[in-house]
Amino acid sequence: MPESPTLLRFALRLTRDMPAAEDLVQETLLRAWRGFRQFRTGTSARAWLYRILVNAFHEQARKIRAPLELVPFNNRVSSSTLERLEMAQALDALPEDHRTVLLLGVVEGFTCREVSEILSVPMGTVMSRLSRAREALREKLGYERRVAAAARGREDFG
Amino acid sequence: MNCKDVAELAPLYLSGEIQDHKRDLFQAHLAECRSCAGQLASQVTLDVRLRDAFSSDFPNTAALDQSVRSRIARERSRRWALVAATAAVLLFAAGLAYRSLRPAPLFSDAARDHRMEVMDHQPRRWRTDPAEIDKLAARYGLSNLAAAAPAGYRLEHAKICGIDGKPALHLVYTNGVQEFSVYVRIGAGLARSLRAVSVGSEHLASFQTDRLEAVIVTAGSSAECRQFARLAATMLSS
Repeated sequence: MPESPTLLRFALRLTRDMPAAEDLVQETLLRAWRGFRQFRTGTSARAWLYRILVNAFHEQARKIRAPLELVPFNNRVSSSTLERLEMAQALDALPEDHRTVLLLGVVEGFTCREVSEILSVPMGTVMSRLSRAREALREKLGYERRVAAAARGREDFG
Repeated sequence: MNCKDVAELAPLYLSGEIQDHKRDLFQAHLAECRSCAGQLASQVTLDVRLRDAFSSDFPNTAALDQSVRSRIARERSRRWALVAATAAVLLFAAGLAYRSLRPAPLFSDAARDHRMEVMDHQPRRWRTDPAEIDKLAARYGLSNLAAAAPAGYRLEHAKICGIDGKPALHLVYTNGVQEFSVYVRIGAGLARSLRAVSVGSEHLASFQTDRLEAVIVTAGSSAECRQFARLAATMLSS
């Protein structure tokens, strides 16, 4: 199923928990198969799939209360892995609505109009939410960078 | 366009959805405002970092896909089973409906037989001896039919005939003026209320007991026919 890796990537950052993310993607693909007749040709099939996923997530959100991943920093990880971990931690620490618009609008490359359809919120809401989410992420990254630097500093001295 | 407008439109600018004339104004503002230009540049950098961190991430979904495929296959076979079961139920119901609604060769055969044998008097091997009639009746588990005749009527004669492809005991009762035919055969045993129809100038009524099927035919009136059918029902059930 060509779309499942990107759906899983999105679900993982949304739920912050791999088993929950896998369940969510399975549920999404099954719902898509069952409801394929409801898909309107001419609209984006990809956006339609993400919309199903987001709806399923909101239905299950009460059940999913995953703890944040605690990733130890050390000198052996490559800089790109470190960047990824920092980014994941910063993103995971954002409120869900900020995380969702950033993942959809930036990582998955949906337009604001598509994001508004996926989330069933007005365009204006998507735009302002994206701006606030970008700002919040920048702040988190600054904070994570300082924490990481401090951790590396302690290790160096340890 | 001022700094506030630029901040507001930045998401559309970054996603490439901004309208052409607004893009020109947007870019014109950036060319003049270092603060907005810096802000936007930092947003672009952030987007690139975010995209780079995750967009090349393609988790292995082979097991997940396989699980979805098998669940779909299971659901699909359940759906087919449901379709097949529904079709079977519908066919069965259609069969039952056909059985109960078909205009019954039984009726037209009985009407024709009554017309030929009773009205037009083309008798064929009628049994008039009560002992012989009882012998025929015994094949249908019936006895003493002469004594069971409704008040004012007597059992005139009887014979075995064929209606709707099955042998039936044909009894003729008369009061000297009016004649009734009663056709009795081994029935399907389906409980059914009294049905009455008219075929040509003959009036017919049918009923079933737990093992017999009976059709009453008369050239009189349909009311008389139904009344006689009710009497015959009591007679045959006892």
